[in-house]
Amino acid sequence: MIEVCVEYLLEKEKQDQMVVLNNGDDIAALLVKLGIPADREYLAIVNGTSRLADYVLADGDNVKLFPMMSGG
Amino acid sequence: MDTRNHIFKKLIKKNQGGRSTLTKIIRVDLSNGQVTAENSPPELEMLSGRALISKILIDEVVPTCDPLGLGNKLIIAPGILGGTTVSCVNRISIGGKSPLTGGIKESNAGGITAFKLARLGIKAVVLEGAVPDKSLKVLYIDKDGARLVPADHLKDIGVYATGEYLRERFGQKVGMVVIGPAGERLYRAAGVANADVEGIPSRYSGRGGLGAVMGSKGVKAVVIDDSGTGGPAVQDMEQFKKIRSEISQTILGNEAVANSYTKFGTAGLVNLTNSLGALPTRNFSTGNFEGHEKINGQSLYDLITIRKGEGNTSHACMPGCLIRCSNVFPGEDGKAIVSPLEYETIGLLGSNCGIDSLDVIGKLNYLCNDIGLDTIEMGGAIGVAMEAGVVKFGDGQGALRLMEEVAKGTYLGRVLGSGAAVTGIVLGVRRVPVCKGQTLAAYDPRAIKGLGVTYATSPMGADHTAGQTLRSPVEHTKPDGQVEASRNAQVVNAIHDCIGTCFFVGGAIKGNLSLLSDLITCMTGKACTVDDLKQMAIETILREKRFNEAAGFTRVDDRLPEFFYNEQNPAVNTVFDVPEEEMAKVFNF
Repeated sequence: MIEVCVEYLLEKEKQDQMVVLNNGDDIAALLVKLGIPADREYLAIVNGTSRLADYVLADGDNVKLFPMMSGG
Repeated sequence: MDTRNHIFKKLIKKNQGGRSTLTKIIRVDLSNGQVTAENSPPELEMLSGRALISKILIDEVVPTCDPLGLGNKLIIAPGILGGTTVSCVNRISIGGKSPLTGGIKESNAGGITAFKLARLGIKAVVLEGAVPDKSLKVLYIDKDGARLVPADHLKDIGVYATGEYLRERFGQKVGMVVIGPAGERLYRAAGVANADVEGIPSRYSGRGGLGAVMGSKGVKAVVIDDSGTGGPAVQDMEQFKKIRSEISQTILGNEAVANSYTKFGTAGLVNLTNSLGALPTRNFSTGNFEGHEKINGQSLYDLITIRKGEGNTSHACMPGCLIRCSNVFPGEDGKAIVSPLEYETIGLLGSNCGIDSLDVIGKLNYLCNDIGLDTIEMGGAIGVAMEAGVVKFGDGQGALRLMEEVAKGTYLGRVLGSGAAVTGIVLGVRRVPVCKGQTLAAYDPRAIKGLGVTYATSPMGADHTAGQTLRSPVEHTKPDGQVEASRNAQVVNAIHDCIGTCFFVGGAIKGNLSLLSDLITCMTGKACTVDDLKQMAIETILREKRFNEAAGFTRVDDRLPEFFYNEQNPAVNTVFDVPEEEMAKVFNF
């Protein structure tokens, strides 16, 4: 098990939170765990670097999420 | 000089049922005051906005011409869906050869210019030649024709006061395209202001110094009165209404739009770019700004809601817009300081100058708007002046004093008003954040490398709206995939520029561009697909590239300034490292 810290960069009504994940879980798995619908696009920044949905998270990672308008 | 053109009147009357089709090109030769109107030839039928501008420029303007000379033309062209009330389709494109970049330029904005021109059936207004006697004119257009009106009394009058005068004289509901003293004085950073839905000229086609082109012609304003028109003709109105409704429902049901653009406006991006290490700070020396929380979307939203008064967190910049990302920013007394206050302005006049006060940024923005200047270019120029030590980074009052110099037209003010590149040369600054002479928008290219590719390669010079890769599926600090991301973004952005739609609608309708091509089919009665739009965008970009090459541009011009290649952005510990040979392939479509 790993634990990551999630921060929302824009939606301040959402509290920052610690999230427990399985070893090997990626950003896509984190979004599922957070209950974010599949058609919502988030830009993820892990420890200060932009990462894609298949980036595998590690224990102690800081994940900042920003809602993007998908498509375009 | 007061010429009314009767051919134009006849052309207007041809339209059936009082509805107009986008077929007329109005030409105004300022050298002799002649106004003519022509029906556009069939090959231009499906071209509008940026596509039409590039076609007219490459066909009619010698690429090596002096941008401020008799041979250049200023073209004002609505998009093909303009004049309707579909959300996000009323952007106006203004273009010409740029005195800032020396290349082709199209700069678009919201407001009501496109809406009103399209309702008059006007596909383009082309300003040619120049007044022979340094006089100043207003071009007035209504359903009965177009005429030049003497306007010497508006010399050196600010944009806002000019707008008030023009509304008083020609009617409160007219549209207008206006320049300020900066354009009259031929400042390379001069933009062109378009009236917003309240009639106030505050929506800027800011980039590329097109205000100076308009000033060089001797035109202070173009006033557009669409009273008595019945709106644009739509060939299949039933289907058109159905698609319009689908677009509206998609936008209104898009939670991301409501949570981001509608609530915070584009200022919502401050947190994102700061977290990515991409928020330009102190003349692009880093991508993290310690004062970002004072100038971010939340702070802007809070200040507007606390101060109330004339403030408004969500305002539509053009008729029918449902995204409503514009705003009205009030001072402590509740009176509006400026509208809108947007991300690029906050990034360039704020963090890039080390300024962490929205009040100061708002005042700088107001001054730019009133003098008639591009806020991005002025943020770049003041940042360079700060690096030279003219005033210190973070000195908001100092920055306001610099803007006063620009307004007064002192030598220092004229240097700054010439943009960041000239400011860097005059003040001996090596780190100057420009491509093709134009200041980078508010994204550090070392932290969002796809945008670096766009800045370097776009025929427009450094321009975020020419190919925004922020949402591209790439890790932004890595060089991999950035050329492809930029190529795709440049095509998608060019589609919007060519049909007059706002770039944000693409995201709001979740990338379903067929809604837009279907609208065009309904409007024109000619089949239009997404592939057709892509092809039009690609042809436009290649035409622009050809214009620039004929104007003297080479591969040397498709590079970022050297410091981005050898100075790390300490926020992301990386330089710009997309290989040049890869970048050279960006337009291999």
